[in-house]
Amino acid sequence: MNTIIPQLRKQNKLSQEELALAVGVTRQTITSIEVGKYTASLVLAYKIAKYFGKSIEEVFDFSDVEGL
Amino acid sequence: MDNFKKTLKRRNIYNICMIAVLVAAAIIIYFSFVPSNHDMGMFIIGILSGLTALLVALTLKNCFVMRNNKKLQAMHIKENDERQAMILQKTGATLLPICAFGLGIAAVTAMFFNPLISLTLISVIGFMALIKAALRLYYGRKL
Repeated sequence: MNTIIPQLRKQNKLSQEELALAVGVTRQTITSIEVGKYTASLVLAYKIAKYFGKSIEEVFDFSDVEGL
Repeated sequence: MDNFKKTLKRRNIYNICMIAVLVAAAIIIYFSFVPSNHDMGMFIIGILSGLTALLVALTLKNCFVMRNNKKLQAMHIKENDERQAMILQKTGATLLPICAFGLGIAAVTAMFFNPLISLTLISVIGFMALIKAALRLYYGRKL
């Protein structure tokens, strides 16, 4: 699953560590989400989207998910 | 974060209880078992001492973390991180079949040397399967 988290972080001048702390996960989790190795849970996706003031669909790209 | 502090306090109480039990066991073994079998007695006391030291270290670590908010938050995040939880789940799920396979090979091999060991290993596999079935049933109803 693709995401625009890296771009959003750049826009907001935010490090992975800072974002991780804000949403209550480790930096490694944010890294894994950004490179597409790990799919965030609904709650975490919501927290990240809310942190940037966006909706989940704006932050995460579900086009490559089967059955959608 | 207050809830996590309470959890750490509860863990410390549990650790202290365990330390008391281990120390009591070491004292009992020292006076009852060591005089008749010195080497084995001291070996068991050594293991108990190691476990006690580990629990003391964990308790001190928890006390130190509870006094430092940054460390407390870091520990909370580390323990509740969803990716870490998934890694643990996947590790546990993969571990059981691999262990059962290894034990199966060992049981077949042991049959050539000592049938009793083989039967013991087969019993262990059976016990593992039983636990897995019980856990599946439990989580199937819970989730």
